[in-house]
Amino acid sequence: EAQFKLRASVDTSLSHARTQSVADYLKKVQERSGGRIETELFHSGQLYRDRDVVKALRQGSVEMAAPGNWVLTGLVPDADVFQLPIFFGQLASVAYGAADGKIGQLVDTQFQQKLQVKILGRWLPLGYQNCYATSKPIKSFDDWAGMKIRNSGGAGQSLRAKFFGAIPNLTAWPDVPLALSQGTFDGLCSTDESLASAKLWEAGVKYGFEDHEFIGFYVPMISDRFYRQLPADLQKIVVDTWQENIETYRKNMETAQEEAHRTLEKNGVQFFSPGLEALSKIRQKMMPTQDDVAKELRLSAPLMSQIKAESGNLSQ
Amino acid sequence: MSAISVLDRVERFLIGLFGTAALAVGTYQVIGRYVDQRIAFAYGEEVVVYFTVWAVFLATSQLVRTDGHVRPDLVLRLLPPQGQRWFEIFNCCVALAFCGGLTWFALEVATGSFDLDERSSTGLEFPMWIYYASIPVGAGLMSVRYALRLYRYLFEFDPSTMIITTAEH
Amino acid sequence: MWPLLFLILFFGLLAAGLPIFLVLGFCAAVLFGMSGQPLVGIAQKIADEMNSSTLMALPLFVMAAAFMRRGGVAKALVDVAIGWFGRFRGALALVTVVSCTLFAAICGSSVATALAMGTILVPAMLERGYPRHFALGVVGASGTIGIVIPPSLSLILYGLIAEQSVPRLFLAGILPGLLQAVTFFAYVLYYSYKHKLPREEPVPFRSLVRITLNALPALCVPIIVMVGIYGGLMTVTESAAISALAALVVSLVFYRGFRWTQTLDVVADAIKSAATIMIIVASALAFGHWMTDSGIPAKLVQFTVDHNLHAWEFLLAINLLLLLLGCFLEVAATLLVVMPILAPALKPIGVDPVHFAIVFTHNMEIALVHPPVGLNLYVLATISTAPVWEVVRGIWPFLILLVLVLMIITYVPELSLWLPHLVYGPAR
Ligand code: NA
Ligand code: NA
Repeated sequence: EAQFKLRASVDTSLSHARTQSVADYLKKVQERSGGRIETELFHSGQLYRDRDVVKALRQGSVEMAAPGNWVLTGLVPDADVFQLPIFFGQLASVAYGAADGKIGQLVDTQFQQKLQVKILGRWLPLGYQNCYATSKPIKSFDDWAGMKIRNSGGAGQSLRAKFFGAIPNLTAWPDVPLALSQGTFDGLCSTDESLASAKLWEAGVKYGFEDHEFIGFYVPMISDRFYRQLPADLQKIVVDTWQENIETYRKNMETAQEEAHRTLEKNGVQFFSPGLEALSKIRQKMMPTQDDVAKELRLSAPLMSQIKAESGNLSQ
Repeated sequence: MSAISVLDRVERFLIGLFGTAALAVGTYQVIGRYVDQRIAFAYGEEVVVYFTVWAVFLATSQLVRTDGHVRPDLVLRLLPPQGQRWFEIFNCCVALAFCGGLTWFALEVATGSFDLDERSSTGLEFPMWIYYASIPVGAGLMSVRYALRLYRYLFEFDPSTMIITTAEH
Repeated sequence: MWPLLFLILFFGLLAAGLPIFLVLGFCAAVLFGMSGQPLVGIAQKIADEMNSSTLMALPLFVMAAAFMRRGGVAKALVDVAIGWFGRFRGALALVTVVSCTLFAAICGSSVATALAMGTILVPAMLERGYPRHFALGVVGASGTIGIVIPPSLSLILYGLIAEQSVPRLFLAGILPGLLQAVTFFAYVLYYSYKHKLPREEPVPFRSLVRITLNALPALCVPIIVMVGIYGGLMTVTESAAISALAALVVSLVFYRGFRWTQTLDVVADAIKSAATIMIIVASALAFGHWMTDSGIPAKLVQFTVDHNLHAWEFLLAINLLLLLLGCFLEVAATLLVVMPILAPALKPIGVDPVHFAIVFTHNMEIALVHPPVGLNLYVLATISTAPVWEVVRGIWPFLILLVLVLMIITYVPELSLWLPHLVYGPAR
């Protein structure tokens, strides 16, 4: 018989790999708890946009969420860590390593304290953020210069656009298809899956440039007050279920991006890949700006010294 | 000038000022985007929201004063003056309960945001408590207006000016 | 038990004449409390829903309308329309249908369309002796075209939730929107001759030239905005800002209906009109939030899906469900409550999501003009200080036409799908 109700809110649609991961997690938690935890999933922003969901968690209006780290920077600036130049153009494994290691822990600690949540475990990657264009193909970083490139608002993205001589443009996601088809901007930074879900080729996207600017992560969390009222065995189920499945979920997220990539290609989007070497060169050029970027992003001193301590491994 | 008419003037002035500011920022953004990139201000739309919502919540108070909040008055129109009076008294009580509660909880939202140092997640990093504060202020002012309205219907009821008539305009 | 309690509370408070935002907010608070939700959630929800840049087009468009009316821009435009077309009976009502359709091509919201066009055209129609209920009905009903003709905020939201391409949805809206406009136009023409609406004296050619020249600066306002939005420059909110600015400048420079020192005053009035709607939209979203959380809409939709209906039965059932929800919620709230659970069910049943977008949007138009919560009704009652029932009286013939058009849109999918297929090919 149900003793606890676990409602989860995500703002991606039912078919999105994150929604699917959370749905699978909820199903398993309910099963393993023998129905003592009754779970319910609200997707597509029915209850909350991710931007707003952490406050609802704090206030006890909902029990679980997995917001992207990019919407958490207003409360925990260190959530923006992957905007640092050192992560530009890196392989996913590098970002995963940082997220799963001490850097991720430093950020998690702040999430737990400030948002009054329990972080379930390792984060769920959304995938590479790339650049896409409508009018002219981007084949190298020089092509960025002078283009109007839309981003979703964080300071890191706008600094990066400026670094390449592009003109950063901030447009809310709901306005993107219309703005694209009207030529309000020449390109945008996003992921394959986001583009495919909005079918943005119909809004004029023709080219993709796989510059792997950073990797966004969804942070799985449940509200502290919910977690604390659970008996120890259920607490263990809630945490273990995530830990045991996160590898599968990560794979699923990657597969979804690959599928989206193929969908985009099938619909005529042409991709260019600068290659690891070129990315690494660009990263070296960006590195001198790292401290300024950190300052702009309000990253904390402990986080930055951790980054410096690991920089040997990261910049391999 | 009575305190309440000072309040009226201040409210109206601020509504006009914030609304005009929103318009100015919105226009400036368009110019920055399409005419001269050098003066571009990426966070214009965000600022337009903050100004407008402040203006809107101040306006909700003015709307109570002028009985401008939209409502179905079908039943009211059918009632005799004393009947209308008691319905209005009831409405004021419900309104006070809601607006009072909203003031209280919205204050919690605003102070919570202040304590957390919550910023907008764009590069503007706008302190969100300033935005949230518009709601307890608006709801608080509405509460004051509804309290005054309640007082008038209880103790200063004048059927010639305070009821809805069926006369066509 | 909750549904019953809710119905009593909702309709009781409405009947008592409580403002709608309070009815929605108070019901939400009671229901939140009873289902054990923290009440602070309502305040947070209202705050979060207002924090939306797409919502900002509304006050800016209302500002534009207020500048045009107070500044004399509107009068110049009405004069020129009367000058050219005044010989037709009901010319201004016909002009209203056409203006609303044109304005719909700039503005993404039906309420904003009704509010802006009503501000300008209702007083003009009343001055010329049109029956008030008819004048209100024409604007209220024609205003609904705002969300089906692109740009459309509700189609954008639909596209996000149902993962459909927004440009494709926009194309799908054009023909159904025009069908609605043509239907209204024909009805207005019929009504005008049947009820012998006033016919204007013919205008001598010299005055016609003068009136037309006088209207040229005023005509710049819609032209600037049209060029902006279709010339590929501006987003909807930006074009709203530019319309307001253009209306302000033209008013101050050419027509001088108010002095620049009065600008704040005009803006304050505009914000007040917009606030009546925005506070309702926000409280309806808080109320819709409770509905979603309660699981009632999910059960209703599941019930419809489980019954293995044919596509046409399904569409009929959904139309009825939406009409019901339209009694309590407004557009954005209904979309958020229903579409996430409905969207995954469409393909299996054999309903094209693009076609369904237009069926859905047209339902939302109907919801805007039927009581008890039909925002366009209240917008017009507020503009004209007329009782709401008078607006209802004016609107009901249009409501019947809207339902007829809905049936056509529902059962002739080609009307919605032909244009998008022509441009983009069949959906993949
Ligand atoms: Na429109
Ligand atoms: Na309705």
